[in-house]
Amino acid sequence: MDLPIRSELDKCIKCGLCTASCPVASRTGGFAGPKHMGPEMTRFRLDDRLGLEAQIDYCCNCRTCEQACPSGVKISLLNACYRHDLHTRQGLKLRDGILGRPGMMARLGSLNAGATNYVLNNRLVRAALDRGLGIARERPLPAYSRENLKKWFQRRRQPDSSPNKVVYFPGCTAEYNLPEIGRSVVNILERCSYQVILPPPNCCGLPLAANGFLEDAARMAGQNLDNLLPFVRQGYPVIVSCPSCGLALKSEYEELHNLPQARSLAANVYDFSEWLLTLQQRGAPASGFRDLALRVAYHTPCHLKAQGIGQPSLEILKKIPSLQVIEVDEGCCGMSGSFGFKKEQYRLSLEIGARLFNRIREIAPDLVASDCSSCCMQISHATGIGAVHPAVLIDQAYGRVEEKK
Amino acid sequence: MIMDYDVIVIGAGLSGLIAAARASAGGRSVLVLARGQGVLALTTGCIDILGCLPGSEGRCLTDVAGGLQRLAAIDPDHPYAKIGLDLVQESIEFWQQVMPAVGYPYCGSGAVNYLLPTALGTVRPTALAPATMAGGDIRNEAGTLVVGWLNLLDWHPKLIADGINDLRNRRGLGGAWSSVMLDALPGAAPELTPVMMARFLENAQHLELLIAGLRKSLTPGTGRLGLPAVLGIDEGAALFRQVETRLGCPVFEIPAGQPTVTGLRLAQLLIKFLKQYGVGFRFNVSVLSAERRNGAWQVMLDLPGRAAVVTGGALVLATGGLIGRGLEADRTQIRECVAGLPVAGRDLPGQAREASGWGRDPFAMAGVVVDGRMRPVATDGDPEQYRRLFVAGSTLAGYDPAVGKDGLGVALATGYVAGNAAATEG
Ligand SMILES: Cc1cc2nc3c(=O)[nH]c(=O)nc-3n(C[C@H](O)[C@H](O)[C@H](O)COP(=O)(O)OP(=O)(O)OC[C@H]3O[C@@H](n4cnc5c(N)ncnc54)[C@H](O)[C@@H]3O)c2cc1C
Ligand code: SF4
Ligand code: SF4
Repeated sequence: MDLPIRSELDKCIKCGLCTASCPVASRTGGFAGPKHMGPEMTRFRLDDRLGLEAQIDYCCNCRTCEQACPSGVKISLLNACYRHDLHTRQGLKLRDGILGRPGMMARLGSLNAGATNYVLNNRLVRAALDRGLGIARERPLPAYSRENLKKWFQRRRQPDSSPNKVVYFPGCTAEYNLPEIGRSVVNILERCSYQVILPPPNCCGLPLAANGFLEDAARMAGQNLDNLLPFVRQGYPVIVSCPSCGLALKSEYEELHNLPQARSLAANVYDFSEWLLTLQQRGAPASGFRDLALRVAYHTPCHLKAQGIGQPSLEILKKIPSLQVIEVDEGCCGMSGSFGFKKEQYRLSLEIGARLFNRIREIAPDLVASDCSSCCMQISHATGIGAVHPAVLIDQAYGRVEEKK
Repeated sequence: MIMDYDVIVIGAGLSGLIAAARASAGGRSVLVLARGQGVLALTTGCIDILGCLPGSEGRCLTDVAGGLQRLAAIDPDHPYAKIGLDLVQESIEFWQQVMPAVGYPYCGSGAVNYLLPTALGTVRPTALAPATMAGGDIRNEAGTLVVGWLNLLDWHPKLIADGINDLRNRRGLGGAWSSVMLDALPGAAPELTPVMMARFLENAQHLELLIAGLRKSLTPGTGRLGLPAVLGIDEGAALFRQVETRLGCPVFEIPAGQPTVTGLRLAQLLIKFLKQYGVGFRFNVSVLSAERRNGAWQVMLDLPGRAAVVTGGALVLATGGLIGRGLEADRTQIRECVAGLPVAGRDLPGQAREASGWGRDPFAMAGVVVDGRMRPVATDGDPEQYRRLFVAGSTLAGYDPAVGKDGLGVALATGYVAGNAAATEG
């Protein structure tokens, strides 16, 4: 189909006047009428010839559109279902299956973290991954930690039991790649007199859903519901430190996967900073920040914006004495989890974030802070400036020095 | 009672943004809550203060100051009449102070209207125009060339030039408008909406190509160039300045398409500016209800996963009308969705349809009735229940922007007064 017909379709503003005037549709409900049968069905019939169907992979699942939509349309959920449908019809890609399972890859990779990191940084290996699988060779792969969060948690001296308990769901990154995030979160929660419970490590399932593997994502979600609901029933809140895990637990389990009881979990899930800020506002013991003489640029991840909870970590960082925090308000970083790893999207992912990176270079901070480790990865890669989760800074402001291993 | 914010504003249309700006300038902590973007990105971004007087049969008004005096005398229920013209003027001055800092300056004192060309070749009277548009007044007698590109949708230079020449002939003005259609912009998609073209031109190399093409179409008779409003979004007026300087010829933009580049620019830059100013924003949040309890406003939010409450000392309701969905109509009633305020014209949907006076649409006229400080007038029950609640924008009763051509003007003035009251009144 050539382009003039496509603009023919765009001319339709969905007013329904044609259907209202159609003599056949006026007399029988058995004919949906010109609006449906003409422009709308034509779009369905011809979409693949326009090559539009495959374009669904360009939706990076950031949910910015939902924040603009005046009508509350859940566009990214529609897109997730569409992606799933297309990929089941056309066959799912091995590469996307790997990118969709950061937890499984991490469990394998962590068996011998040193060797894995070495191999994954090898140029020949990267060239093979690029050509064979379609993982962009320019994109640094996240390193695996020698000691995951769970091992650390079990190894150290357990703090005294407290009647106040919280469950911490670290997700894959804080479990396997950057357990310092998890350690900071645990430390801070304990400092606020909570006893922290870690459920068995598991992925939240969002990367699977974002890559079209809806059934697998739903299975993952089911496991997490089984793991977490017993605690929720005892009245313990569930804390997440990753905005995408937060979005999965708060909205996708119910809206995308339709899982029973997802709602009772969702109602008790809090982003780490959302929780800490509430504690601080209630005057909890969590006060007494030390000086932290740093210039920090803060970037709000899209999946945090989508939660509608504001910018709690920014508010907390602003309370740290001597810490100069500058908000970088330049939208999406372009990484979007697995999106920026894909060979065909690597360049685009950097272009999407170009304004953000320029602004950060202008600010020239000591560090960037962002709640999403995927944003952190992208920002560091593009600007060469280190990027950390706010919990790490907050933990330092509380006076903790990272233990030597 | 610990209050999360001094002032909570519901709605991120122009009235909500101005209320937030005013309250924040008054030293208050402010949070804006919105389900989505307001109508702003669909408008031209021109602040129409008053384009047509009631009863003037649609005649284009130029003397805004005089028109406002007359309006206040004959239509005491109009929001301007309620506020008083001094405050309307103050809101205009506030706007003119804020916008240069936003990076998107406006022209006009508010006392007279510009007559600007539209993409349909008609004329729009407007009092405050973005600096990128103000140069297009049709009464200017410079020879004007309107430029188009073959791959730009919703843009027909000849239609515009013909339409404006027609109007100018009737007014006996000199200096004809002409048009030129240039080849498709190289490197761009074969079909571009104005928003896509604006994004394309945010790339410096693409802008160079555009400037080179425009330079070739200039003739000695070209006194000014009329372009579609496509000169970038995020950079405010910067690309416009660049094009004008490089060509050495006055340029003006004419807004086209939906959403409109000039409206998007205004909405995005204003929000960004207010954030830097310390105003908190949460989008993608529907407010379920708002209730005054224990001396504070408790605003119930529908967040992903759960409902949550934020509390504020004062509340500004700027949720829009039937389009912004601050008001909702079913078969029998119109209701105000957040605080359940009384609505003038509540029973319209169930009644036989009659035009309001001066050809105004009764559904546009419906809304919340307020006093001069934007406080809802309680028709029943306890007046305390609406304490420190202020309403602004198209949620209000008493005006029809399609007829009065006063939409963003009323949003500006009432937002300003509501924000001021929320910041100061005890
Ligand atoms: C297509 C169009 C073009 C126009 N062009 C012009 C023009 O060029 N110049 C001019 O002067 N006027 C113009 N007008 C008129 C003018 O745009 C409106 O009168 C004005 O924008 C109204 O602004 P507002 O702030 O009252 O409402 P809106 O812009 O409608 O904003 C309402 C806000 O409230 C939010 N909201 C509503 N309910 C809830 C809830 N329950 N919870 C959370 N948030 C909620 C919405 O998401 C939105 O952010 C135009 C109008 C239209 C429709
Ligand atoms: S990329 Fe983001 S804004 Fe674009 S459609 Fe997908 S979720 Fe929406
Ligand atoms: S913003 Fe919402 S209402 Fe508008 S076109 Fe997109 S989905 Fe539809």
